[in-house]
Formats: sequence, structure tokens, C-alpha cells
Amino acid sequence: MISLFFLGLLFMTFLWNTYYARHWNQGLSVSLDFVQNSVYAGGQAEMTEKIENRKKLPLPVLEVAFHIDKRLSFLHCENTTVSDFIYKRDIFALLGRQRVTRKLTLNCPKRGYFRITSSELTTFSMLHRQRYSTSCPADTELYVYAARTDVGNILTTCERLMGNLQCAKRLFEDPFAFSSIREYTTNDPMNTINWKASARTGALMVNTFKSTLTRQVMIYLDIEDSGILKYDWLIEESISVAASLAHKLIGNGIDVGICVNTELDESMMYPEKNALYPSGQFPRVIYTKPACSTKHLTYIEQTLAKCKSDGNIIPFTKFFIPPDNARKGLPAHMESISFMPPADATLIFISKNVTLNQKVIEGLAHREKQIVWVIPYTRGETCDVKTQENIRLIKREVNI
Amino acid sequence: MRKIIKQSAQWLHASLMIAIIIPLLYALCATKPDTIGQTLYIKCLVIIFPVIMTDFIISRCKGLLSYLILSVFLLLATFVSGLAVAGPLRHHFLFPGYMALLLCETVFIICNRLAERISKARAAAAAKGEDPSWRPAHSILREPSFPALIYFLAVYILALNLANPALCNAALFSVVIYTPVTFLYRYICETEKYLSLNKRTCSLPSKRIYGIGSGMLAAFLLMLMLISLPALFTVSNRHYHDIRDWTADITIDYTDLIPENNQEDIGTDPMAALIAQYGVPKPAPKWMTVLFHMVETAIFLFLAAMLLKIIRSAFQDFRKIGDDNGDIVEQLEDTAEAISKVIIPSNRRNPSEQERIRKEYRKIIRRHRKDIPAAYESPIEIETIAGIAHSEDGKKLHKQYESARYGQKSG
Repeated sequence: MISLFFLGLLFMTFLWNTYYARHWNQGLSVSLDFVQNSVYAGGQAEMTEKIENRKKLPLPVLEVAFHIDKRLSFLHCENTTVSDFIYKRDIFALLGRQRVTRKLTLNCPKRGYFRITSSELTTFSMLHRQRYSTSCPADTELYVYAARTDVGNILTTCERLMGNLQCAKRLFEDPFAFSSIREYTTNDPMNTINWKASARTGALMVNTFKSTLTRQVMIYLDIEDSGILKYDWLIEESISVAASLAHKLIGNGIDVGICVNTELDESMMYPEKNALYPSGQFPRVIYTKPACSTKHLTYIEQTLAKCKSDGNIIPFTKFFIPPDNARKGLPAHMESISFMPPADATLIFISKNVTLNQKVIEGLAHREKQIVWVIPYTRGETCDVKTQENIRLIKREVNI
Repeated sequence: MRKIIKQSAQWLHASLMIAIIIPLLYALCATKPDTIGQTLYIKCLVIIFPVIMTDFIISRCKGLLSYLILSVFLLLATFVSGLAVAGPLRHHFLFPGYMALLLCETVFIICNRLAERISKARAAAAAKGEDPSWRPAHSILREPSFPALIYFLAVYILALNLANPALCNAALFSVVIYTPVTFLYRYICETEKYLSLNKRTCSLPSKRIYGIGSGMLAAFLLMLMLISLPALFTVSNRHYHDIRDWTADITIDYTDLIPENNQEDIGTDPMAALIAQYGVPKPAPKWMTVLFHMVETAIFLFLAAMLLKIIRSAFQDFRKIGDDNGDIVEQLEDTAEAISKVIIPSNRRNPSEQERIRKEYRKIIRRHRKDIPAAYESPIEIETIAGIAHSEDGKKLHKQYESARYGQKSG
């Protein structure tokens, strides 16, 4: 009878839709991962979208949507919407017990710290009459480091400063830094004789050692841009110079410390995945004493990637008040930190704000101290600064 | 392929909707079921020919005159085909009515197609903004839809109340065919619409979407057909009524209406002649009915199994490693299944003589010693502690073990 047919039709449709609505997202997982942890500005990064359907029920249509900061851009941006973020939506079709992996390429023109925390999954009923959605957490991040720039002239100036110091301290040899073997002279102590080399050559031979000096450089980076007109390109150039200097100097075995006059905002305070800060949060204050290791360089580059010139900027004038004096204007958690440079460190100031910071820099530079001041300025403008002799000025012209 | 399926669905929709009209009208007129009514619906399905032909003609004709000329030919062709399939109906008094209605239906189809064509032209003009008052016209011959099932249900209910089994069967047959056709049509339309909305999406797996979705739809329809089997098997359990009996006290003399020739025509009915000769046929025995139903079920299940096989093979195509869009497609296996499918290495399946001896030695030692021998114990020490060093079998085993463990051919 026809009534049985219609009843069967209604029952089957109800059963099918109900089963699909309840079970479509079971055994379904979506993982979004950046292939690289970090890239340099101007480069490209890759991310993978991996969708796994661990049940037997196929999914003919599955939309995966997520959003990302609009400073990144996808190479193929046909299904992206750009407003406050870049919203991307990808469509997949999966059979039961299947995994689909898709690779996406991103252009990273600007530095920054980018994170994807969630994605939305959507599917449809058989005739696309009903729509089912759920959200899926994601946890992946990408650092886009400041672009490399040519800092040869700054390095030359620095090494000239550091070289003067080294020559003055050549008397102190490092017993762990072997240099060469030469013949014995009467001035050499007996404990430096290399008996094996002497037996081989038949004459007394001694070891010589290098004179090492732990050289330190402290970079003070000013990213304050408080005027009505914003000079983003100068701030970016300052950050690039700081990052490039740190990279080159650490590569040469020189301890580098950095201090930036800003704090990281709340959105950057995530437990880091890397080994730098496994237990706690990324420190908010951007200040680190000179050190020389790959880990330290990574920290510097990651910190500079996270800096924002529109964040909480602290004027440099407040940084160099001794801790025992009252330091008004600094946040409470920063009052106990001393931002004064180490005694032997070569100081490099990178600041475009000549008027604001000249007195501070001149105050730090006394008779024995040599300071390098890098001043970025816009091409076409003039940069006429007169200061003390022991402050080496390096003016850096920047294109817009 | 999708275009062919959509077109076929549209033709089936139009044919099923129109074909049932003549049997309905016949049921309204006929007072008792007869052999003519049983085969009338099948004869009316000849309407599919003008439905298909008008669709081709309207899409290819450039002018109205050519369309009208071809329509005239089509009418003639429908007349001839109606005449060819009529059979015994040719001698029935309702034959002129049948032909007239068939031709009227053909004319209706021709006019409907023409109206559609005009509407399309106006839609194109409206798209350019030339005709702001245009509204889209909806053709009943174009799109299969689920509300049309109510039409067949109404015909069924009417047939039930006219005590006409043939019309009931026709309506049921139409519903059974129409439902999967509509599902298929709507699935293709909705999927096309979804894909057209997302046509700018990169790496859109349209082939996979169609393939996997079609497979799921086929599985759904298969289950639907299985569930609808009881509806087909309970055909004989209908309770018929005749609403015309409500006016039973009003008698109408039909003898003047029926021409004398028709009384002779009834005699030409072969079934009537046979009935006159041999009497009313006995009803079929129960076991035959059951056997017939079993054969029906077996054929149905066979067709379902074939369909399932086709669905599985279609799904197998989407289990490939790579996709045309560059996506990597992999199969996932459960851990337990993966373990059970681990292939045992060949050397473990066919152990060598040395391995067999060593395994036997270990088994015997474990049988005689409760503790595990220490690593520094030599074989003679192990056997001494186990208590088998001085027995004949123990000495034999010791010799064999020493050659297997430390001999030249030991592994």
C-alpha cells in the first residue's frame, strides 16, 4: 500500500538525517600546522591542513574555515575573505577511514607572530538542506623574523671599538683556546712544553694559546613612534638592523644583549613550545643580558618579531635611572630591573627619535665609553645631528 | 553524465505526471474494472515520446514557424504511435477519447515548451535590465519535486475510492519510480548550486564531492527501496470503496448510450472468449503466490547487490593516494586491525633446523626448571640444574643443541 511506502520514506529520511547529524563529527580531527616554526620577512611559509575521518561514515562535503592575521597572505587566495583577518575556507570530501592532507603556501611580507587557535568545521545533509557545524581547537604558530639587512658598516665600527679593547688585554691567555705549537724559548714556562711534539721533532716545543676576551655588545632599540605622522618604515628598519646585528655578532662569537622600550602585550603571552621557556610564560619585558648561543639568538629574533610599535612604549629616559632611586613612570614589575649596560659592553643605540633620546645617550657616553648610534631616516629628508666625539653616528637612509 | 541524468529525470517527471491522467479519467467513467483498464496506463506511457521530442525541438529550432511545423509532425507521429500501441483498445468505444486525450496532452506539452522558451528569452532580457516587471515562470514539466508525490497520492486515494486496482497500481508504480528520480535530480541540482557558489575556491574536489555524495545517495536509495518492499507486497490487501455507490439510488440507463456495435466488440476480447469457454479462472494457489514473492525478492536483492557492488567500486576510485587537486589522500586503519594484518616474516613462518632445536631446548629447560637460567651459565650447567644432564635424552639434546648453537652452521 502506498501509505507504507510514504511511511518508509519518512522513516528512512528521518533516520538518515538524524544519524548523520549525530555522528558526522565523531572520529573527525583537523590539524593545522605550520611546517616551519619561523621564516624571515619577505619569504614564504608552508602550512598543512590534515583532516582525518576515523569512522566508516563518509563526508561528501566538509568545509574547514579558519582565520589568520592579515599581514600574511595565501599564495592562492581565491577562497579567502580579507577584513580584520584573513578568513580562509577550504572544502574537502572524505570517505570513511581516510586522511586528506593539503599544503598551503603563505607569503610573509611583514614580520610578526602569528597563531591559529581554532577552526570551524561545517558539513551539509544529503540534499544540502541542513547545515551542521562545530569548532575544533588548533594550536600552531609562526614567527616571521625581521628581514635581514646589510649592517656591514655598523659591524665595522663595532669591531673597531672592540678591537681597541682587545689589544689592550692581550696579556691574558685563555688556556682552553689552543692556538699553535712553536719552538721553546727561555721565556716560556715549563708547563707549556708539549712533550709529544718535542719527541717527534727532537727539539723542545711549546703550546701557545689565544688571548680571548669575552666581548659584549648591548643593543638598545627604540621603537617609539609617538608623533601624529607614523614612520613605520623607520621602525621596521630599526628592528631589522637590531636583528641583523644580533645575528652577525652572535655568529662571530660575541655576547649580545638587547633591550627594547616596549612590553609584549597580553596576546603574545603564550607558553612557548620551544625549549626557551618550557615552564613559564614568555617574559613581558624585553630585556636580556649579553649571551652568545643559538638559543639566545632565537629568543632575540622571536622577541623582535613580537614587538609592536603601537604597544605599551616606555621612554628611554626612564630606563637609565639607577634602581635605588625612585623610578616613576615605569610599570611596577620593571622597577626592580636594572637596564644599565654592563661595564665592558659596547653599546649600540638604534633610534630615530634624535630629539627625545640625545640627552640620554650623551648621558651614558662618558669619557671612556664609546657608543654607536644608528639613526634611520627617510630618504629625501635631512639628518643633521651633532653630538659628542665618543658617540659614533651612523646615519641610515631608508626608502619608504 | 550529470546533464543526461537531469534531462532524463525531467522527461520521466513530465511523462509520469501526464501519463496517469487518461487512466484517471477512464477510472472515473468505468463502472467496473476490466482488461482495458489494466493495460491502459502502459499505453499512456507513450507520452514520453512527445515529451522527449519537444525538448529536442525547442532547443534546436531558431524560429516559431519551424517549431510549429515540427510540432505538427510530432502530433502526427504521436497519433501513429498511439494507434500502434492501442491494441485491443482500438475496438473499444473509448478509443476516440483515448486518442483525443493523447493528442491534447501532446498539444499541452508543445505549448508548455513554447511558453518556457519565451520565458527564457524574457529572462535574458530581464538580466540585462530591459524588463523590470519580469517574473520567472515555473513550468510543471521541468523540475521533479517532492510535492509532486502528493499528486500521485491523491490519484491513488481517488483510485482506491473508485475501486480501480489498475489505477492504484499505476499510481503506486509512479510513486516508486518518481521518488528515487526526484532524489537524484535534487541531489545533482543542489550539488551543482553548491559548487557554483564555490566555483572560485581553489583545490575544490568537485569530482570527489560528486562521487562520494552519489555513493551515499545510492546507499540511501537502496535502503529506501528495501523498506518500500512491504508496500509492494501488500498490494492485494487494499480495501476498495466506490464513492459512486453513495449515489446508488439514482439509476441511469446506459443502454441507449452504448452503441450496438460495442456489444459485438466485447465478444472480440480474447480473454472474454476464453472465459466463456473455460469458465472463470481459479485463483492461484497460496504456495505459488509465496513462490512468486520469493522470486521477486530474490531478483530485487540481486539488483540491490549489484548496485552495492557498483557503489563499492565507485568508492574504491576515491581511495587512491593522490587527488587531482594535489591533496594527499591516505587510508587510516585501526590499530587492532593493523596489528592483525601484520605479515609474519618468512623466516618465522619456516624456522630453520637450528632455530627449531634451540626452541625445543628452551622449552624442555623451562619445563624442568622454574627459574630462568642466568646469562653466564653454560649449557651443561643449565642442564645439570634442570636435572636432565645425565639422562640419555638429555645427552642427545645437549649434543644437538651444542652443534646448533655453536656449530659452523649456527645462525
